[in-house]
Amino acid sequence: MSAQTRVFLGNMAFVIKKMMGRKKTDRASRLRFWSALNDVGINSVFFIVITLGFVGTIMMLHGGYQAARIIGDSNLVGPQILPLMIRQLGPTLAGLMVATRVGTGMAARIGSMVVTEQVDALRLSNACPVNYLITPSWHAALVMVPILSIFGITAAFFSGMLTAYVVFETAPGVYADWSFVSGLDAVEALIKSISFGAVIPLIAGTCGLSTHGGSAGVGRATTNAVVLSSLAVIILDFFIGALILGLR
Amino acid sequence: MIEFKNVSKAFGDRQILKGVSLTVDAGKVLFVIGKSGAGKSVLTKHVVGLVRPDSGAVLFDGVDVSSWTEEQFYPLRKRCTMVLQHSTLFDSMTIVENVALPIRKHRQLGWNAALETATSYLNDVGMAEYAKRMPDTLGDGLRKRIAIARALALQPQCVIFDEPTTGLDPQSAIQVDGLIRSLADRFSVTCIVVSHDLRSIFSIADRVVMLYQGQVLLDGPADVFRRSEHPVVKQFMSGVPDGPMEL
Ligand SMILES: Nc1ncnc2c1ncn2[C@@H]1O[C@H](COP(=O)(O)OP(=O)(O)OP(=O)(O)O)[C@@H](O)[C@H]1O
Ligand SMILES: [Mg+2]
Repeated sequence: MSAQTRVFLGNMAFVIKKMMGRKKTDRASRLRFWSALNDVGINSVFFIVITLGFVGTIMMLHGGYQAARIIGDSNLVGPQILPLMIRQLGPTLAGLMVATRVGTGMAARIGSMVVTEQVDALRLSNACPVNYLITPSWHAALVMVPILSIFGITAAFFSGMLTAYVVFETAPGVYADWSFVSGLDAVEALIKSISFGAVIPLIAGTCGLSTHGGSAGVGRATTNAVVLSSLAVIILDFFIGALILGLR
Repeated sequence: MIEFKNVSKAFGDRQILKGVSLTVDAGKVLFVIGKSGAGKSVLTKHVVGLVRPDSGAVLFDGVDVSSWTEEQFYPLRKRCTMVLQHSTLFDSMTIVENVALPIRKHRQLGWNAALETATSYLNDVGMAEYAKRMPDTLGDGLRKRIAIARALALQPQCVIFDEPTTGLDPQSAIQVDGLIRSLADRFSVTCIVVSHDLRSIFSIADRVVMLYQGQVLLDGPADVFRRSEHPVVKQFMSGVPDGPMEL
């Protein structure tokens, strides 16, 4: 194991220990939480709605085209992509977007605080860097990734509906056929998005804290944050999905 | 008061400190010098637990702190504080908030009480006019002086200054030197100063330690340095690029 990996894992253990520890909430910590909610949630929602809006259109367009070619009927496509949208694409794409937007931001901010010794200064002030810099975003992401997923799924649903109507003349009532969607799909979406919300700030924050070596180091930390947290999202997506498929 | 016993530290495969042993006397001004990258900051950060040794021991008042947890260091960081090399004010806070944060955490005060203490303290040190400013609106020299003021607000027994005069104009540098000297003389504060500034070394150091290739090369009063015949020391003093010193 390389020295960097050891530092990274050591830091991650430290971050987890600190996040699990009890801490008192005061006005300052509530303010940090609100600002993180704003950063993770409000500032990402537009991005996610647009992305998933396009994904809904693309899925419907290609699915409808294929279905029309093979079975001559594109009416079945809507009901088939709905469950996929809910349990798979919605949470995963929302997770990937948050990994890109929030993960890089966190790693860059914390990394530059490390190289300018601001993190050392926090520690000298007895202010735990994890509580100050990571925990607020962690809490915010736990709340916000599920909410963002719902926004994303909704956007994909309506853009798919519009595409089905305009391109394939599928009536909205036919498109919005919920009979293939089960409660388990919603449970899966929730479990996935909460897990993504938990791992992204953890990984990005740890990458930030493990920074060394000036601005080049901050660059590396940022890249690592987006690569590792996206990878974590995809791997979790697979395992949670497979586990729940096993339950069906 | 502070003792390093055979301290070694590596980052990855780069060995920065190779068995440094050193005793720091209470109430004196000790200078740590050495070329850039010699490990001066790394060495001094061991005292306050910002860096932990790979092997060896760091003693504070006779207690080995090298395997302490972060929490165990909290009370120590009130008695012994460090002014870091970069002007490490928190850029998201105003000056008065910057000064108030350690006061609040170390004395466990409420935010408003800490702000009040910080405000009156800034008044005492003649920096009240900057209280409401953000750090990025101030120059480097001023930020450094505020960082020093922030550290001294806790009335520590020991202060580590990491390059306190780098980037200051000559007048401010002389002021800072005077401040360090008077901390030691009037309040018996132990001062460890990391510096390249020969002028400060010869005007205020009680003792100078030179780090070279991870070890203590020379240790003694400033005069010893002036008279040293060691080729590396001579090169360092004269500042010429050519010589035996490995870069
Ligand atoms: N956390 C870290 N991870 C990896 N390398 C580090 C870390 N901290 C310091 N180093 C390396 O250790 C070496 C010594 O650093 P240090 O900051 O102590 O030097 P210095 O003597 O204070 O020099 P300067 O005068 O430039 O401040 C440097 O090469 C630095 O890159
Ligand atoms: Mg240094």
